[in-house]
Amino acid sequence: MGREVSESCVDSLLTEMVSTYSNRFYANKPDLAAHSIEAIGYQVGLQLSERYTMDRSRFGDHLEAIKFICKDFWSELFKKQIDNLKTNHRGTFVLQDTRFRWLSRMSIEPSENGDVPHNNPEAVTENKSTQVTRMHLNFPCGIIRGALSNLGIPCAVSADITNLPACSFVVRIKIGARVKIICKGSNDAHCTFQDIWWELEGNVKKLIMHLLCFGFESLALHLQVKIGIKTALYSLKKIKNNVILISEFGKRQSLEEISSV
Amino acid sequence: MAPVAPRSGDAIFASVDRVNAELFTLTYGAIVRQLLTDLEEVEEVNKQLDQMGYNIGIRLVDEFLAKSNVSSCVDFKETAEVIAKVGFKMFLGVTASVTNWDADGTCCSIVLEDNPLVDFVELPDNCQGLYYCNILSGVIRGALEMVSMKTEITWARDMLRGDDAFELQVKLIKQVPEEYPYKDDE
Repeated sequence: MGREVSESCVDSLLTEMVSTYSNRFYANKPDLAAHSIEAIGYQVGLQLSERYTMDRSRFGDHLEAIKFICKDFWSELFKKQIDNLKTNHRGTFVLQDTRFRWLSRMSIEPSENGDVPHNNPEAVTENKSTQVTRMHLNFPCGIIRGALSNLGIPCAVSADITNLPACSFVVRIKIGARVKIICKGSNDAHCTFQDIWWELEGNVKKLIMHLLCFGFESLALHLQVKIGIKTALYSLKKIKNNVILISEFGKRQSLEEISSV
Repeated sequence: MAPVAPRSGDAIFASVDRVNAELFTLTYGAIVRQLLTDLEEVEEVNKQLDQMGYNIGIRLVDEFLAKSNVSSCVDFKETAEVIAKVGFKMFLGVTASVTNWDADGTCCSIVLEDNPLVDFVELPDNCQGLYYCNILSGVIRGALEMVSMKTEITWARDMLRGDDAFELQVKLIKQVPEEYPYKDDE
């Protein structure tokens, strides 16, 4: 067991960090506060993940990496594992901690506007303590995003606190569509298979159209495609000789529980 | 009932919930880094770290008093010893020592040879004016203010600047007599 500090050190530091950003620096700009708090978490996640995976072999797929976050990574931080993991097999994972330590130690004050009419739930404004809780959660969301990013998995992470003190972290990996690319007429004449990192189906269609219009020459482009749509399209415009055929893999929408976690 | 005996720093540290120090160290590092990005000026970062520490100190003192059973210290000398031996130990798991007392007992140094805040830390060249651990001086200043001691705290030695230890010079400015915080009719 390595060095330890009292838990109140971490709690005090986090509380003060959130309060500094959301009450002092950016009191009227919650988006900027959230962004900085998330960035701090990202940095922490990146470095922790680097340390905890030093002696490990690479993860075979996304699920393996996510399971690492749920088990080893979470245990290092909170001395317990994630309680429940779900996925839709299309890059979305829901990690639920039924008693998230950083929330259970925060005092959740009763709602100040308890007399809001119940017949119009849309009009219910979030009370102050929910806002504070959400602001705090930018930090662990950043940690998860940083940890996965260190494992080569770019993603977006958000938190759902509809069942306090349970907290669900929703991880959306940027792999909305798996695209199969077949190059014709190039030197590698038959089949190349590659995951394309792109999130939105609309953009995938756009990408397909551009690929059909301009074609591409070699596998080198795959790397450029991974960078993102703008860079990819820019590169594609330069290449015009080959024809490409693309088909999208079937999708499964519902979340399926992964029992082995 | 006989007064409860004060507890040693080791005993308290052994009994509190503890977490892996990497999380704490890296989080602090990430905060300093983000402050440098957001505030740009090293001087301003020093100031904000001190302010954050102060805010933490004024809250942390309650936990300190509750867990340590320390009764009022007779003088500033005893206070400094309690901070070094009990305060540092129960929160950070390390012990500091108190030296360099001046003749009238109002100024001393708290020396820290082992400091979890700076594990894995190296300052880049453009941060040379940074007092990386400035949050610590803020915490002590804040906590002491809550027990009616107004102090001024400066860094005399800093391992990140090549010194052999961390040394905080603590100067007692004035001791405010304690007041009962509530009016009679409340």
